[in-house]
Amino acid sequence: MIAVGVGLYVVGIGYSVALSFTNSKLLPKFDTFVGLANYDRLWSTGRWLISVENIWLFGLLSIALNMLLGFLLAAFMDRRVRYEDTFRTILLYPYAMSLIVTGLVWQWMMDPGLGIQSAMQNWGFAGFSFAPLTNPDTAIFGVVIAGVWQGTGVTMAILLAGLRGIDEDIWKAARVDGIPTWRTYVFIALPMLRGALATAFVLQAVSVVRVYDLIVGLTGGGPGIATEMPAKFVIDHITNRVNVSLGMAAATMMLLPIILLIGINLFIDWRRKAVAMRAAT
Amino acid sequence: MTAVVAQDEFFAAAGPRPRRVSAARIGVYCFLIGAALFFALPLYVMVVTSLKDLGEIRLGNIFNWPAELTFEPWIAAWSSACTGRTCEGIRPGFFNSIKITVPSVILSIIIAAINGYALSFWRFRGANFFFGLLIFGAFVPYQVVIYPLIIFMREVGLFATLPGIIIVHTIFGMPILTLLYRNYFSSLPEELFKAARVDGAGFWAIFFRVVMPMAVPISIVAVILQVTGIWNDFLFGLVFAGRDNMPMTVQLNNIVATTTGTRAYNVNMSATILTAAVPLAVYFISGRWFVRGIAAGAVKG
Amino acid sequence: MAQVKINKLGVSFGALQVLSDLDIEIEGGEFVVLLGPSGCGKSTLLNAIAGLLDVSDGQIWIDGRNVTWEEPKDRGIGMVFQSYALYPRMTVEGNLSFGLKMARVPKAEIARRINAAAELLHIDKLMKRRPSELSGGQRQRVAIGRALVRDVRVYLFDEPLSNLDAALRTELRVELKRLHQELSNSTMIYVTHDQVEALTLADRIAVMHGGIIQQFDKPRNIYHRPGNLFVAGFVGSPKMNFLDGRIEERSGERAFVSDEVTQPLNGYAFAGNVRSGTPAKLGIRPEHVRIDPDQGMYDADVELVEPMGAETVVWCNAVGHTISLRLEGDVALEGQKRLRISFPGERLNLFDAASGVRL
Ligand SMILES: Nc1ncnc2c1ncn2[C@@H]1O[C@H](COP(=O)(O)OP(=O)(O)O)[C@@H](O)[C@H]1O
Ligand SMILES: [Mg+2]
Repeated sequence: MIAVGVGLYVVGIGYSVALSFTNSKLLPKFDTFVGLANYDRLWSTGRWLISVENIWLFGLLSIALNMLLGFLLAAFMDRRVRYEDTFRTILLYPYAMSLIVTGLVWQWMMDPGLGIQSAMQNWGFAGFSFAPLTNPDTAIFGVVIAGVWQGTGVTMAILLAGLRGIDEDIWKAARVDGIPTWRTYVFIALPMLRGALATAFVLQAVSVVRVYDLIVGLTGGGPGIATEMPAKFVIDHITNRVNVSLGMAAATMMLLPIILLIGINLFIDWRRKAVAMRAAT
Repeated sequence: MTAVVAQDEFFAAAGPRPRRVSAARIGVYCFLIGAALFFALPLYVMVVTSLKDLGEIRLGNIFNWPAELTFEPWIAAWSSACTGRTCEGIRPGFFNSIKITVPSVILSIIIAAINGYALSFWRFRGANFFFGLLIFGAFVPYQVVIYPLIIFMREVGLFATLPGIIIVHTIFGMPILTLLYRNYFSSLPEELFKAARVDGAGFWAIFFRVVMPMAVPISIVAVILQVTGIWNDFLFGLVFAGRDNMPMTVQLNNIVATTTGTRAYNVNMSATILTAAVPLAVYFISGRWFVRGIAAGAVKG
Repeated sequence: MAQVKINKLGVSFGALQVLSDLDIEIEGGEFVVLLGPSGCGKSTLLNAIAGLLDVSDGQIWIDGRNVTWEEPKDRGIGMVFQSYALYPRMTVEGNLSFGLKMARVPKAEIARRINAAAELLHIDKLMKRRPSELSGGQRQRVAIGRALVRDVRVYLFDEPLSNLDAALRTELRVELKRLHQELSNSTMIYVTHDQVEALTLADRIAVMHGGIIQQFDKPRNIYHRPGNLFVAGFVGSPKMNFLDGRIEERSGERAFVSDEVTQPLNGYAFAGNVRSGTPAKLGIRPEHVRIDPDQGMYDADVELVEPMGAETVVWCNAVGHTISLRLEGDVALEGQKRLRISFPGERLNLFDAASGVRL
């Protein structure tokens, strides 16, 4: 059963990759192989280029903000605060909601006429402006805000669990050594959280590569094509735009970062084992 | 001399350190409260917007508490909001989502539990390879496999049907759930399996009598993971469910995207809350289990 | 020489009062061991001295200074933990120097102290390694080194050897003793539940139970003149043999009397006056039970013989109790089913049955 399931995945991926070398439009056809022509076209398609640029910008910004904010929150939560459970519940609930919901809520909040902007202006901050989604240059930052809002709680929860796993004696030793608290977090705890950081990072990276619902709910890819993403590019090409082979070429490109990620992971694993071997001898 | 010491001792520090509220402490709380506000704000806005009438909404005071509470938007969202074609509200989507989620969760968990058990019971050659493929499967972008799956579903006549979408969810839940169970089962002491074998139990007897009773916690995690995951799914519902089985998320998007006449923001927000209600309820009820689910879902290899 | 003085110390965790009204005075340069079963509050006391937890009552003085409210780093202490608590992502050198860098000690001084500590602990070859690349014994040496470079007068150890295997434990125990001799003016306070460690290392042992110091005395007194029933029962292996009875005075001679025995007490040094008829417990260590075929007073039926190499422990049924005897390793008892034994008066321990206090 597992073999069948795994086989299905492999066959499916192979099928997709193979299709990307054909000129299929509406239906899959394997009679005409066109080599890398689809990839040529893909990389000269403006919409794809913007999608790729967007996912880099979105990925780097949202992951960086997410990890930074997540770590700060985890460290502060770790300081024996009162109402810790309440804080955690509030920080984490966005993750329980659909990305479509996230998109719609933030679309509403960032509405230029009726959202945060107008509320602040009505309160007397006449110059206040916050409507990133209306401007093609800033729309992607609106997506970043919504993404960070949705995913930071998870990073916080993972890192907090990691912090709680650190030996109590280490903190005591650091206090006896006279190391200031924030330095203990940065120079001692943070390096010990590598596993948790990697977990949180991978989780965010995967959701960045997959980002689709959030875009549909928040901007629909707009204004214009300012917030298009690769995942949306692929789906649009196989559903509406009847250019399956081009869509599959794009899908194959999306496979690359994941393969890269797994490669890095395997490398780290291999190195860790090598170090362990060295220690054992 | 002794008198001096005694006096010193008398006035010196003793007992608990006097508590001073340090600046750092205030900073910690300020930061946390600020963050909590940022995270809670959208939920608050959703709720207040859903309770206002359109006239009040047009004033543009998104943060204000409704001057006059109205539950009309909720009723409209549930039973009469239009999705372009029909005007039945989000209710059909709700029942579709239930029809999709319940069987998908049950099916995927049963299969994954057996898979995970088999993977850790028979440490066959190549098991590691399978394991690697599973991780790969858990991370692969759906877009890469979605098209072949459409073709396959069309071929077997399940495209745009309820069984079709259930199968799709089961397939896509498989890697992560199998990993979850495999990791859990491999963390059980091997002696347990050995002892059961010595007692004469076979593969299935061990599974039902020994392993599954111990797998209750991990199964709770799996249920949480799957219920929220499948309920919140948009892409598969959009592609595979077909018009008659559209899950709530798709229905919600359709309602919001429908721009006939004036935009009923309050109805939209009510529909949004209704859509988020089930996973939120799961979240609030399950509490710490939810966090465990995330950590488990994040695959530690 | 840094004296450590605890005055009426109280520590509680929420509603749980772990220590209350605890006094102890440790001389400068002394090696004091806090010995007691796990959960008795040893670590709590040590952490209070270190300043790692807030006390609810009393005072702590170190080196003539009242440090009750001071931060751990300002108390002039160094501490070594059971789990080593090394900073895992730093090299040995980093572990030793991090605290000093934080305190802005000049570079040359840091180097000097690290070299001194490394030489003393034989870890100079490990400086570039990470903790994960060290064995347990090496890790604990580094942890001790990290305390040493602080150049303080008081060192606190919380079960530093408990995570090591038996052979390493013995090795490091000897080294700790040597270390204390070399750093002759530093005070060491050492927590353990292992009585062998306590007896071998300590200048004085404080036996703790239930958050209370039961006895604070030299090891030989702890062992040979235990101050109460708890100390008598806790220290020594196999345990001291106990009999229930009472003290009776007959024609000026005092004796311990029970249903099975009448044990004359000449030779026993009473701590104070004891009324005739006082219910009491008599204790005698296994190695002090004498086999005496001619003048033995009691019959002992041999039940079990445990040869342990250097010694042999014999379990007998005598005077209505199971009594253990510790004999020479090469003693030959084959065939002997019954022994005659006696309890030499000067080796006995008597305790008040009600209060447990030594009589
Ligand atoms: N942080 C804490 N919170 C609550 N109770 C504690 C805490 N630390 C220790 N205790 C309790 O205090 C008692 C003494 O603990 P401890 O000093 O660690 O014992 P020992 O070191 O002698 O084994 C125990 O009953 C323990 O359960
Ligand atoms: Mg302890």
